[in-house]
Amino acid sequence: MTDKENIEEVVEEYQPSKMDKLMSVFAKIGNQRHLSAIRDGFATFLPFIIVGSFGVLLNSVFFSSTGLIANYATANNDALLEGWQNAEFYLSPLANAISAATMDFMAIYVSFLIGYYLTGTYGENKLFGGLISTVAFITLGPIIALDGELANLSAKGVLIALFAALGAPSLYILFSRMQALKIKMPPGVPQAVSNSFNALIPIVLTVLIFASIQPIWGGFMYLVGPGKSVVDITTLSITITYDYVDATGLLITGATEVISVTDGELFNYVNGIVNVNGGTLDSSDLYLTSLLINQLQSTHEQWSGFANLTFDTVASDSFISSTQDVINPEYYYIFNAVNNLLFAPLSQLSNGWFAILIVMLAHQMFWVFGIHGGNILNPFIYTFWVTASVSNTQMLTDALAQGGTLEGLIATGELAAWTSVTMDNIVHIGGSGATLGFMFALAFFGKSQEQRQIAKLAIPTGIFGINEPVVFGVPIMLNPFYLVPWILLSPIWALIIFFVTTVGLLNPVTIYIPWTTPPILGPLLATQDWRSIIYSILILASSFFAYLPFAFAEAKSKAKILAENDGITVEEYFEREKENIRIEKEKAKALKKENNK
Amino acid sequence: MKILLVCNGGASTGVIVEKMLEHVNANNLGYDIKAVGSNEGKDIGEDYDVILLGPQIAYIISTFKQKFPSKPVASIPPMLYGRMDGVAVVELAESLVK
Repeated sequence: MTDKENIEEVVEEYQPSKMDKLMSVFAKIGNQRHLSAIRDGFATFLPFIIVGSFGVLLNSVFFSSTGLIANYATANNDALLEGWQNAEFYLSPLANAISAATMDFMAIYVSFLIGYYLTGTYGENKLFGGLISTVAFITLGPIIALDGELANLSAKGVLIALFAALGAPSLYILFSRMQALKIKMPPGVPQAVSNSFNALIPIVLTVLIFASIQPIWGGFMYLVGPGKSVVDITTLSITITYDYVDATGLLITGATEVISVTDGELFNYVNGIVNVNGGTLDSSDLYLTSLLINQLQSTHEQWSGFANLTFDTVASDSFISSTQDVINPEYYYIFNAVNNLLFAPLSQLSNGWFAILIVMLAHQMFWVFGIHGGNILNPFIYTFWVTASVSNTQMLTDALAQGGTLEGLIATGELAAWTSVTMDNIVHIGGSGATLGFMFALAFFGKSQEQRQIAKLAIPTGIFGINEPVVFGVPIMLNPFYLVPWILLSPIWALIIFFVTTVGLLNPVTIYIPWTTPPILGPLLATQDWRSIIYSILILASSFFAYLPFAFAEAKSKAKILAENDGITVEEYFEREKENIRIEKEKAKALKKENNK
Repeated sequence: MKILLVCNGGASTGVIVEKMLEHVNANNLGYDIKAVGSNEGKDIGEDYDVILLGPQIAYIISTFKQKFPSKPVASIPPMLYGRMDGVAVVELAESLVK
């Protein structure tokens, strides 16, 4: 036990003011308000990603008639398959509602949360900052650029959500602190009135600026070219003469009209006979007459009694070709352009072996300095690797909804091979550095009582991925002995897992699970692949053996100092430790017996 | 006394809080102790008398010091943290508030 004076000393020694230059760089990154807003915003949303994934897991394993269990159970049993499909009709809406409400609107929620935290760093109204971020995000056009899919409000919208959530609060705060924008009311006007105007101006300006981004971008792209497409249009034009009764009941005879259509049944019928078969059509064709009357009825709803309809002979010259300028949504909408030109290549890059290697190495390096590697790298990890996981989950949802299977989806090769779950749950068994195997090694073969005690403390938390007892207890932090296995083991496994996933020897992660999910179970749930168990065991075993020689070396070097202090040889010291470990074990056994009685 | 422990996600500080509460309950100290992630810590720090950061996020301590200038904010020394020494962390909190 440490006494108070001692504690103050230790605290004094370790406060960041004493950190060296390198640490102050890390501190700058960590305290940078935009990066920390991204970190906090995503972190707050993570529980909902887990909830949404749980919905997909329900579908994928239990409810869906193309899901994991149904696939095996209904293979040779059509009656069961039919029953399953009936049950799916009633049950899958539950699972779908859970995942749709959470993950399908991820970009909206995240834009709010990041804006909320960023505004908080300025000490301004956080709820307001969050709201203005989401408003700004929507003005950028995720919905008009939708094209039938919701992904712009989710994984595909994340980068623009970041842009809105970092930009809008900054602008809002800038404008609200600008004295020139404050309206001065004549004396006699209550302060509350001018306050309400002054609160409004920064909002109006901020929203106006964000709302003009899409029109300016779209207009520019349309003028320059990539935002515009020229399409060919063929119009069928027929001049007809007919009698009808108008809205007041009066009979009108000999009315003429030009019917122009570019598609539909009328167009297809005439096209088939005239252009495909090379014939002509005249007024004796009753079917065309009836189609023309239908057309008239649909355009003149208040008229009735169409009769005596005649038309000139319809031939190939009745079809007129023309061109029309339309927008090219891929570039016209800034949303699609950013996705196609920026986010997609960046995601691809972040999901390649090089980025994985660099980030994993950096992750381990930070821990050597005692800095939470995940925490400092989270702005990157959340933006790309968590988003990749969400995107994978959504693809699984869609595949199941369309009657597909997980296997079929994997075969398309569209799933990201690497996600944050791959790192946290598959590679980092027992926490960063995959230390659970190492702790078992220390528990069985630790040379000193100290090493065994750390293992005893670290195994129960390590099972849930918490390994601060390892980092600060062994310690790993600033300890040259463990540098090699600590820095290399998990990046190497990351590359192996990435490789086997890419070549189809392990399912990609399709379910986002909490990082505290215990080993074996976690990877199994996340991948729904029994082969994950083999990799988990291999990682545990490699961790067991990779760290042990370094632990022996450390124990030996410590023993030298301690033995010298006590005036004994190293061999004698280890004998003593062995004896102590034995006594400790017996004590524990005796205690267990006592408790059992 | 209300003590707030902050780490990346509130997990490892959660383990320490359990050890701290064992000590607090055994000695009837009546302290209110909670572990949270750094995002939540920034929101609820105002309600606590002392804020202790896990050493792994000590590098962002200035964010907390700026946010809560009137409160004692410190990082838990790595040695105590590695041992998950609940008693020492309670004593650390006591020494900071007095």
